[in-house]
Amino acid sequence: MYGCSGNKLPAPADTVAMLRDIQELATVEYTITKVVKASDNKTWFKVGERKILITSEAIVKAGIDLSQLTEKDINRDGKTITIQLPPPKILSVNIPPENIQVAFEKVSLFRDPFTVKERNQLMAQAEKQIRNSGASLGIIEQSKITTQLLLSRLLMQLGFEKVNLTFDKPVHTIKQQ
Amino acid sequence: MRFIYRWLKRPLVLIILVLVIIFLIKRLNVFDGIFRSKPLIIDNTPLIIKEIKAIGELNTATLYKEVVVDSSAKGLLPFSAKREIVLIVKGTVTAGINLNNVNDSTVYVKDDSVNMILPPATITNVIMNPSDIETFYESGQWNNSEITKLKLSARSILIREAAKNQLLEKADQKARMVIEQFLRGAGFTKINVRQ
Repeated sequence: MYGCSGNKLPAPADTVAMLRDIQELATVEYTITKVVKASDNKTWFKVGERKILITSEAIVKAGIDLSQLTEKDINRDGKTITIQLPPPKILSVNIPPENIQVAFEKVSLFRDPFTVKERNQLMAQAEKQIRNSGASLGIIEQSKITTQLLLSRLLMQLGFEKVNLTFDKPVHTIKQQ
Repeated sequence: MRFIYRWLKRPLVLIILVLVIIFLIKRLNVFDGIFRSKPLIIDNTPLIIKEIKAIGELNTATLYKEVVVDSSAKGLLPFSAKREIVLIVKGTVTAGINLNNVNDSTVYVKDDSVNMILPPATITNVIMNPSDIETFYESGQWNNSEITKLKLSARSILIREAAKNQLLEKADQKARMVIEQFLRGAGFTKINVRQ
């Protein structure tokens, strides 16, 4: 058990760390700000209301999953190379704890302040909104451009004079039983 | 005698009646819907892009670990009870190499042979989002900065776990493999990738 205060609670069973190989090429990073607003005044039997305003910042990374790429997708013809890449996708959404700030909180006399659990639940909703609307910010299109720039530069360094990159490789998903 | 019996009987009947009503209310969840708090729903506020940055991270290894962190402190008022909190954090640490550090000085090509020096792997992400955090126990009021401090201690533990499990070494190894495979696909036959 790890603590800030040095006060030790009974140690829980230590969980095993799970290591996994991935092959993700992240080519663009968006820093997104979101203001989280919530008013708790809809429960009829609770007297008074609570309001909270949280500012947050998320880091969203997008790119391609190279595990989808096989040797068949790469064609070399002299100094020309053609690669059929898998379509870009959002690879990670990260809301660092230090980027979450309570900007305003108002609690009526007869109500309890927001608990840690409630504040976290509100932020989890914000995280879901960021995940769902991240693509609408043009991150996928931007990722295509940055992936092309990065891979073209690397392939030119390898001696290729013409680089053709497409993002039309069909993605295979493994269905779990 | 009959008078006393009548008075004794009444409260007994009343108690039994009340107990039966309580049992029925509990069993049939009669007032469950009426006395249920409405869920706290956030407004759908816009997302604002602060910065767009081109990166070149080839992430090749991740570590997933559940970490328990706790804290306790004095109550906010004199003589008030001690405050305690326990969080369960499900964190992911990702490691990989920065392909932007591959340049002309680290790549040497001659015909179908290639020599490449890759940059060493670094930790590229430590993710412990709100949906990955469970408040297992809390008593008393905790402000945001106290909770941030606790979450950051969980992050330090995750980074230590990554080191203990040799995440960077594994990411280095996998990165070399991925690049070698890519170079073979690009038609090179003599490949030397090192770090």
